[in-house]
Amino acid sequence: MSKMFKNKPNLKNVTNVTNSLKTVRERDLSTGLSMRNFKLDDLTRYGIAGSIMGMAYEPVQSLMALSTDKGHIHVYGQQRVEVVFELKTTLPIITLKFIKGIYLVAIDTKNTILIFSLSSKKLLASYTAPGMISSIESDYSLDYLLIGLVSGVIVIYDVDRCALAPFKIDNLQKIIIPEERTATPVLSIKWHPRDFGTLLITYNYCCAVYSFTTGEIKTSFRYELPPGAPGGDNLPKDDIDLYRYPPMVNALWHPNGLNVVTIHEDNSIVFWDANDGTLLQARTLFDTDVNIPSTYPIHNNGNSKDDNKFLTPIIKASWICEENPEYTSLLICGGDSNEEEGIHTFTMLDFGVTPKYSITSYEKMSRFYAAPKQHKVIPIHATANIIDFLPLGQSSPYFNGNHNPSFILVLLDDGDLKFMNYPTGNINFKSEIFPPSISWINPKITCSTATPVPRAQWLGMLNSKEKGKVPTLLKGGLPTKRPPRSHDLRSALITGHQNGYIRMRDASLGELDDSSVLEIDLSSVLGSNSSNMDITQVSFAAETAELLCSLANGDALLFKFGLNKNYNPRMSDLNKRLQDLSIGNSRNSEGILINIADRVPYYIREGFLPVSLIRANQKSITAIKNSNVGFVCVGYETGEIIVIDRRGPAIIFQDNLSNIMSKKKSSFYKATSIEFLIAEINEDGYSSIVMTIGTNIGDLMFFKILPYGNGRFTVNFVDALDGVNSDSIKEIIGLDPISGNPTTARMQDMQKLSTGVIIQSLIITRSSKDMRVIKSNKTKLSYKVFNSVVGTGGISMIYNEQKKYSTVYSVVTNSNEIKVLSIPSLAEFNTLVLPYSINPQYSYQSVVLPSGDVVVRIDQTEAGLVNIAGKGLKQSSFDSDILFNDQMVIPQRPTINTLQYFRGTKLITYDDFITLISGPNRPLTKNPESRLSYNLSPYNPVNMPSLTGSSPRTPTLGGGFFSKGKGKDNDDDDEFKYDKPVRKYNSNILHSPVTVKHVMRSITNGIESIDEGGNDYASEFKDNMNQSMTDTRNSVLSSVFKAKFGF
Amino acid sequence: MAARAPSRSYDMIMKLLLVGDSGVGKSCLLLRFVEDKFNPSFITTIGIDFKIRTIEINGKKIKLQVWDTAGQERFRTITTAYYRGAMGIILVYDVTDERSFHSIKNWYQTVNQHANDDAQLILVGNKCDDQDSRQVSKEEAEALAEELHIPFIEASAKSNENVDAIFFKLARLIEEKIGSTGGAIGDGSGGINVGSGNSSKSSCC
Repeated sequence: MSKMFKNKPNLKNVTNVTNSLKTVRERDLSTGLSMRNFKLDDLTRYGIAGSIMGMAYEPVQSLMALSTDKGHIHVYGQQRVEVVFELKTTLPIITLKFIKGIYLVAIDTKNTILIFSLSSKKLLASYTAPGMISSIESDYSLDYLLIGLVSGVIVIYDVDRCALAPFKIDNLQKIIIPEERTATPVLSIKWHPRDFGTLLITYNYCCAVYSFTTGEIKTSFRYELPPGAPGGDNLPKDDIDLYRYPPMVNALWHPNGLNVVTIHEDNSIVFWDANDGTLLQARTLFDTDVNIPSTYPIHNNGNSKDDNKFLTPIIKASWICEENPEYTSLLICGGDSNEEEGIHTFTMLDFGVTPKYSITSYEKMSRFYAAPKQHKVIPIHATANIIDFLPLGQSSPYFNGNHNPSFILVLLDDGDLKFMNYPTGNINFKSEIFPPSISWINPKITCSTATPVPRAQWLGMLNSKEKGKVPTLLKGGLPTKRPPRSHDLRSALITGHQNGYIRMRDASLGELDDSSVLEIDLSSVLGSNSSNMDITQVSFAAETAELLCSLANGDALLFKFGLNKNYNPRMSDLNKRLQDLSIGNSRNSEGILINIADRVPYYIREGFLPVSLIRANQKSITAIKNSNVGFVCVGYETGEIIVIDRRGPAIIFQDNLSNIMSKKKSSFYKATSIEFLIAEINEDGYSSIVMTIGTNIGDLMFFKILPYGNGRFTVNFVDALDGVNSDSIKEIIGLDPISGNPTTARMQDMQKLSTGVIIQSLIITRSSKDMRVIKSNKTKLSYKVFNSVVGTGGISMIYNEQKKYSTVYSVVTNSNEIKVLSIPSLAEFNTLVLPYSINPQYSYQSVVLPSGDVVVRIDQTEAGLVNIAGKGLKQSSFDSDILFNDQMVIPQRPTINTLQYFRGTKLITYDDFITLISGPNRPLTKNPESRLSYNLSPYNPVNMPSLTGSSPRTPTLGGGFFSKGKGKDNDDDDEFKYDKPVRKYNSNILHSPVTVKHVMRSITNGIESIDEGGNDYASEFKDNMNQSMTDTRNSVLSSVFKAKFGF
Repeated sequence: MAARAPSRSYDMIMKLLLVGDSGVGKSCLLLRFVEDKFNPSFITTIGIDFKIRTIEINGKKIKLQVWDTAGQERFRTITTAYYRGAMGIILVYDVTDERSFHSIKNWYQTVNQHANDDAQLILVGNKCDDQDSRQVSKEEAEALAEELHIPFIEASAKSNENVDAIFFKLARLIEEKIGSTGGAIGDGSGGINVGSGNSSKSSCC
């Protein structure tokens, strides 16, 4: 059946009437508009420009900051709160730190330290360090930034007073190892988690515990391997008969401050007693006791150790604790793959609850660190390497930011950012959890499109999501009010992403609001091992709630919105989907169209459910269309096209375009755009469903879809129009020449066909170089050549002076302009200059919306929203969002336990500490930020009663704090009690959602059913309208029929 | 420094992998072998779990590093890391799930593609305690094992039947192989360099 139309194309009856002559007689669909109607509003920016370099998070104000290689710093809060600090220097910002609730410290690649205020959103000070910075340390509650220099010296910068403090720490390695003469940088500085008077400082050959109070080294650690000891995986084995000292790279405190771990260049991981410097355990990721001479020169990680094969270095480690800080795990990145493979994994050593220090022997601690409770490798599936990670510690800003994280932020070298659930280790892409600007690009966008949607249906679909289940990660900040905008024209903005994600949002709101996103996760349908699941195109049929998407691997998938009969939120979905990873390979007998309806993930109650997989093995897909009347067309790189009737579904046509056009010159044809219209073509005397295909060489092909009997349809090639455009046709639009309504095939018009109604249509075709308007009888009306390459275009409905909608066509060009054109004459109303330059590589992903909004793809990771019929608003005309909340008192810093206290650890008070570091002549406050931050300080006596009711010097033995912790083993020993930080004020004051999605919630998906009346086109049409089609119409569509263009 | 005796606690280390379809009980076998526990609730492994148990064979203390995954080893980015240096591979299926048994041939191919040629394989049918639900007969499995030229054991993590036997048998086979080849196992790309050139030392400790 598919090949039944091999007959020769009809003779083309192109009427060669000149453009000008015809245009005069045509009705102007852009009536009542003039140049004055078109001014550009620069409404919003989404995403991030450049690659992410630095990351910071703080749980008190509940904000997150990301910095880029272009010198931008983005600070995110709840909902769409986002403030961007742009630096004139445009040097990459590599380090970010939140301090004292109000300061954001940024450091660039030229050792410049920049202090920003989150309150005024201004730069308070900048300071250039007296040398190359090799490490940085700060504490959320303290005023100082400790700056480790390449020279081995530590200088201290007073962030609160924007001045260098007089206190300095000399190179301690010179004291510990006097014979080591080469200069050492300060590789790491870590504040004692429970005593800010103590530091852990790492040099290249030793590590020191330093006391501010006494100005002395309390303990030092030096890692020595005796002859025969294997050491770490990357230690050359030539010198095994000698004493060796693998250099250090980092050192971390156990959250209780009693043990220390050092990480070495050879990938040794060495645990020490912090009080007396005893080595407890030297291990690698997979082996233990590597400092002990072995009779077996085995290599631990199962690596043959030829000298030129090294493993990746351990690039970072974090000692993470749960709510109960005695329950810890060590998260290590790198060190377990060959160097040439790159870094793609984390290793987690979950130690569980730490044994009580006072009653534990060194041997027991050695075994404790040798045999973690759980030990696992967590792969991050990406071709890019991991270059950094940041635990988002949510219980307090202390323990080096590692207090009870649910997420680990993972940064890859292609600039991608991923959120890893901790401790489970899977990647979380849930868009509601993260700031819209981040989820917009996470994972990266691979295509975008927009579809007008009937309002009631759309709201119903959005409402189908189970709300309120996932709390957002960030709760801080307050969005400022934006000017209200009318939202008559609803459209769904659809983005396809890497790794098989499709997201649909309401573009009409003018803001990306991720509380109303519909998401399809293809990996949950196909199993996560399908190769290259990047989405290349999406076509959404709003009226039938059907969706078609194509993947980079040449597959296409059909979805349909509906209720999931197998909904079972408690069932582990992973189990089911992993059982059957290979579709198609074992079931080739099923052919091109593979039923995947049984792959609905259990957790979806209502949403887009998989129907079929189209696997034609015809290389990549060049064009797709899911019409609103149940027909789907897919065009392939090879020139093949497949038409599917979704009532079945069944393939009703398959042929190669070159084959169809065989009569013609020997060109190679492939489909580059597809549209289904209902129109009369060639003066037939009746209208029919017309499938138009734009080709790579600018020809426009016409097919009729006609009923065939038994409810079947045939696809008949009619003819083709040569050289409609001078390049591949990117877009085909049908418009009624009188009303301006789209003549896109829709159910209501399909039903009218039986009455023999004649529907005229204008057909607009656009390539990246030119566009043309023709009539459906092939009369050419107008033509326009663009003088710069056009990325995208689209129809918008603009309110004219008679308060009615008129139609215009806008194009986004690669010379950073939007041109607004009249229809059908294609006269230029105005050229609007965009406030940014766009990357031509991504401009085709821009989207013109019916509302006059244009989503401009500026770059791979950045987009902007503008309106073409605005008032000329600029970004600077909007107030920036509020970031700083002056009510969030900083929790008390954890203090040492009674045991250490009685052992004589001298704790220093905050005031004494300030005097010690800044001297008696500390500069006076000069910024209001000093006062604001002191108001929130845990060291401010006013805040003390509300924080704990006791002074920070005495450990409080409060009870009940551990009940919520994940650690099962409650430790009742007073010695390890830790006061959970509390807030002075209810954290909901500012954090409660400010804007409510009022409309969404009031409208449910249960739309009243409609009568099955109307005329029949042909009895076959009506009788054989598949039950599923009827269901859709009744359940989702109802109000559609009244709506024209969805409004 | 501490007065700990400066000796390592084992003579030999072996990296073993558990592979097989999701749900066949790989994690349960591992948990039973290492901690002698059984947890029937199904929790899908994410990433790769790693456990250690030291056993004694022919008077040698052998430290078994056992890696357990969730089918994610199919991902190219970590496949090499996962199979690198594996000396023994346990192919697990569920005797009550025919499909998991049919997958064994696919797993066998995957293993051959990525693991060292001289890695020792063993076929294990788990959940043999559940005779009522059995779908794969012992004879079928034995025939497959013969075809693939690998040993075969039926076991149950639940009833603790033959669990130790799997690991001891595999470790013994590896140990014999090393003995017979003069410790050459793992030589070449990415193998464990056990006792290369020093095999004489291996008996002393």
